[in-house]
Amino acid sequence: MPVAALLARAPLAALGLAASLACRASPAAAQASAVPHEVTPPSVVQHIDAVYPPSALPTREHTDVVLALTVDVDGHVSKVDVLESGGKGLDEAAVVAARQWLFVPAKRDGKPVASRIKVPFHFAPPAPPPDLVSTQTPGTLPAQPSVAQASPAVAAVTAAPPAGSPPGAPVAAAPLAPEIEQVDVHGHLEDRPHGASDYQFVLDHQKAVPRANASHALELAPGFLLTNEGGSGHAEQVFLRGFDAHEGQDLEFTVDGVPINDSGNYHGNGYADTHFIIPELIHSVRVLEGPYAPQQGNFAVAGSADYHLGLDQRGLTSEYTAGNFGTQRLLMLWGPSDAPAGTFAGAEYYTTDGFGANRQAKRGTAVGQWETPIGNGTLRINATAYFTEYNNAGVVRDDDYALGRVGFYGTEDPNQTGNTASRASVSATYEKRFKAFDTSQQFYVVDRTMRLRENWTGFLLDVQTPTQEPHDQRGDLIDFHFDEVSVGARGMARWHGDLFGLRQEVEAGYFGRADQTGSTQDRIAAGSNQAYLRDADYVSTLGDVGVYLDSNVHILPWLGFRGGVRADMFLFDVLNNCAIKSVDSPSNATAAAQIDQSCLSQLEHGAYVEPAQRSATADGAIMPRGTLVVGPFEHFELTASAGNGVRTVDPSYVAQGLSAPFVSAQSRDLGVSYTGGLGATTGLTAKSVFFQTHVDQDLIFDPTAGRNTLANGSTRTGWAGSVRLLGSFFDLAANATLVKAAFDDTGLLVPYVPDLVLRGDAVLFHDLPWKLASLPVRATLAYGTSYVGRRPLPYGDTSDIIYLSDLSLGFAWSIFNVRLASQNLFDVRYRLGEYNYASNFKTAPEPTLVPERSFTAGAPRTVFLSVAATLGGS
Amino acid sequence: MGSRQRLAPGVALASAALVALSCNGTTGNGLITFTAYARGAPGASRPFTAGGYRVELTRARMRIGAVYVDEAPLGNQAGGPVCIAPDLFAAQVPGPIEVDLLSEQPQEFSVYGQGTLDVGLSWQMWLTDGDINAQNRAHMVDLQGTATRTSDGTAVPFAAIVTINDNRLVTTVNPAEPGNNPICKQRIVLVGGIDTAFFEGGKLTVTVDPRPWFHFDYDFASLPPVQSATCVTGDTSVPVDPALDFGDAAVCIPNTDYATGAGSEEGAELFAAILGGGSAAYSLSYR
Repeated sequence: MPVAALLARAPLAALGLAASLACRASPAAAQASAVPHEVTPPSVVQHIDAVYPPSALPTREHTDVVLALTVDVDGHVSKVDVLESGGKGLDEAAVVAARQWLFVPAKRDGKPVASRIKVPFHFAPPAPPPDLVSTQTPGTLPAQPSVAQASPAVAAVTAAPPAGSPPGAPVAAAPLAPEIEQVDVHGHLEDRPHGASDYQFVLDHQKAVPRANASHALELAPGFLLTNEGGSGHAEQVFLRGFDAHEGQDLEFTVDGVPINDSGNYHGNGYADTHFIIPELIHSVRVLEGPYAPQQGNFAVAGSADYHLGLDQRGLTSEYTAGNFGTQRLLMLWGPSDAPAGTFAGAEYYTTDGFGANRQAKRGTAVGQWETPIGNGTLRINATAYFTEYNNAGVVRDDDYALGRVGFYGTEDPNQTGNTASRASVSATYEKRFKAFDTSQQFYVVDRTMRLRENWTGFLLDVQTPTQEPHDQRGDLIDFHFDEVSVGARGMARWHGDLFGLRQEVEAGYFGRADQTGSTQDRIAAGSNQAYLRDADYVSTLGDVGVYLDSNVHILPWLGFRGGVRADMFLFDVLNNCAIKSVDSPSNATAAAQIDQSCLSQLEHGAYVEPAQRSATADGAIMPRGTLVVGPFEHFELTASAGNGVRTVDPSYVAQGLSAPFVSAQSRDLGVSYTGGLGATTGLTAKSVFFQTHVDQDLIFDPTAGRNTLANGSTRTGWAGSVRLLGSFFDLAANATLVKAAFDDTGLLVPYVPDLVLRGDAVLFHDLPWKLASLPVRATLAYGTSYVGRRPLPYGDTSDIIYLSDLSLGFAWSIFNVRLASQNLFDVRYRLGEYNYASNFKTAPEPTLVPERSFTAGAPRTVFLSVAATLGGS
Repeated sequence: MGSRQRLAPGVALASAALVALSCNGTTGNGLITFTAYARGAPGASRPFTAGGYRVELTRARMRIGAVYVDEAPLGNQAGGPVCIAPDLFAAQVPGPIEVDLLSEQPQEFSVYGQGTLDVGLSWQMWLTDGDINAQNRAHMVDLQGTATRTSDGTAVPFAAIVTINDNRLVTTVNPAEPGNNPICKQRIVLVGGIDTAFFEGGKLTVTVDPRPWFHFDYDFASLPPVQSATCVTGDTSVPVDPALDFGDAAVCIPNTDYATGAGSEEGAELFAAILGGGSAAYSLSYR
């Protein structure tokens, strides 16, 4: 019976224990290596699950099959040898799966080389999927981040002779060549996938697709629309599966587990600025759309996104980029060739004049990470510093643009300048594997600041009050400041073993975070640029303690459950320094001294009340989350997920006794996943998910307030699909999301949320047919395209369609890399954000008080040329 | 294979349903544009009785800076001395018109109106020339006519000019509330009593009847002559040109924005009548 036919009929059983395994170095081999070579083992880009053969089902065997894979210089598996047989059927299942794996090839002295790795497949019906590789040389090299989940198993990684040399004999039969090194390979602890809405991407070739910043890497998962109304240093506004997740308020952002969301940010609680992440240092991204994993914490209402950092390109890379609009970028990356991808340093300096008025920006980022083995574990220390200064164009009214009063790329208020943001963080993570346990502990400290001056309404909101001296409209320019110090830790212990003849896992973990924050918001008078009114002044102490229990339980060979429960306790202690802003009838005796004060110290008729008032509340939530896994059958796996998530309250809403887990969401998914291949060397993964999420209190952007305000409950129903195809010379990804988001009470659509989002990314890469100075020239062509359907706007209106294309073409030769990239290739003039609300920018003598269409302009065509050189790497 | 074949129609059906689902719906309400007009009230050009006089207007012009229709009823708008209220407005005509109040013919505003598919319960007429808080010299109302005393038939050609500037400010009683009466409050005519639904493509008409402005018992014969110092036309820095501003009038109802003295009481009454004319003097329709 052909193997394919066998696979088509068999339920999935065990999955291999991936290449992220550990073995002890061979002293003999180490001694035999007379000349040390810097060897980087291959790392998995795509793994395909093995399918448990029907012939083994009756006995439900737990068997190991050990394969030796020859990974060629293109990262494909060119040869598979069975080193340890588990029987014919199991051998065939493992071989078929392994042939579809794709790797970043091993490197010797920075150059891709063919390699052979030993991969044990453990068949246990059913078992967790295989995982990706992280590597280190014995005793000296730290672990390299992996891509998928790993199990604490062992693999031998041997580097074959350099390219051009004949492949070595089968590992089992041949002694190691003198120049071959053995390296330890340690797995990177990862969360188990929780349903079909759990997307994990290794960027790898996809890095070639032009993306504006790190946030746009999320677009590899379905449903993301990212807009930005606040400037290039302002967090992206995220729309996902019917959610207006704002600047992160509904999406938990982390980078290697360290939180990105701000707690207690008055501009938006949960504001998540990812600009501190250097895109080149993103190794992989995990996006879980929906609250289905107990590891997800605060803000995981629409889901979560976790960036994993790593530097695949070893050596010292210097890159200079220049482009239109005065854009320049200097990037330095360093990854010791004899160290894994988890050890790196990176720094960038970026400056641009911007594509229109008030779009200048500068930023500097430095990040360093060090991984080292300690005992049988891995210690990872990361330090990051990021600072930016930028201007903000804000919105343009449609009528002003139509009448030529303001340009499409202009600004209504040129005083939206001097915005800044910073982030400095230190984190330490220690992961250790025991025989039956995996453990992880992480500690972090984050210092965040931001300053934002923005004006959404012009001259509309400055209401004359009786106690103020008579004044003209002084302007609504907001000057917002936020600072935060966040200290936290998280950890987990995961037991794994066989129970009832099936592989089981149970994980218990915790999360703790304490924040000290301050937010002030003043209004700035037009002309003088002096603050004339204090809108808000909050000092908050915030706490979050979460505990969770997660499991990966196999009930039957074809039926499993992943999930458990999470409980979070939140604390809010808020000092409002400007609690009393106006009085209708102040006392004559003392009011004279209070004229024009923003924060008053009395109420009516002499009933004295302090202007500063403190509120505190603490409350918790218990959130069950789980996924039922059926299959796989014929490479298909069915999942049904359900879970609850919460988002904490904005400190400005905190009142005594208020429930702190302010907003809760209930989400359900029904998905089907396909993991297989097309031919011997092409991997195919595809997912289709129907989802529904209900939020009991929504946050809707209120332009007149310049922030999000509460709205009623809402429900989102939709479908998301994705497909990724990886081959020897291509990496294709596409996704689509269709959703309807409506308020429960009225049935009206939730504004601003796109109903249709399509995204496609295609990368072609291959050596050119000719060489230059006897060295190959590698060409990479990458194309990305986005389509966003009409978004419902307030007042029954709809936005324009967005359809964009990005393209890049790069050549790599010797140590050099040249890349020409363009975003918005066809120079489409489009409105990235569109709004309907009342504003008055005094562009006409009489104010406008009814809603008018306003927009933030999307960037025109940008063209960048990058030249890079890498020393000591490939 | 069979299962796939059975699955495909279901997936297609579900997808089609989702497409249909996602493409339907609205956030509610809607934005509209409309044409806007102002006109005089029917019969305003005909003689009418005011006190002991029979008044016939020969010139009645009013500058309307803008019109705003509030979704809140009169008296329920945002509290305090709010001029640009943080209310929801159903419609606006944010541009001026100088309307001939003696003509019943609709005269189109300089701009289109905009609004939402909402209901307005009160409305505002801004007597401005640009920024409502700024100084301006524009004549908001120009009146000329003849008042004939009914008792003896004495005809008194009269004129009136109304400007609105700082002298219209109402003194604040409570020193703790210096901002209680900004000048903009003297430039906004508030009118209630409407229940007007707005829709796309309609026609808004503001009708101004100047006759209620004369409900006071003016003694036209005792008003100051136009050559007197109290008959200034506006900003005293602007040279007086009675021929231009007052026509062939013999007396004026003084513009108390700049004039004091004889006749100022009548001038104040006229301004109060203009500002507080209410639904007797002003009406709004949308069809």
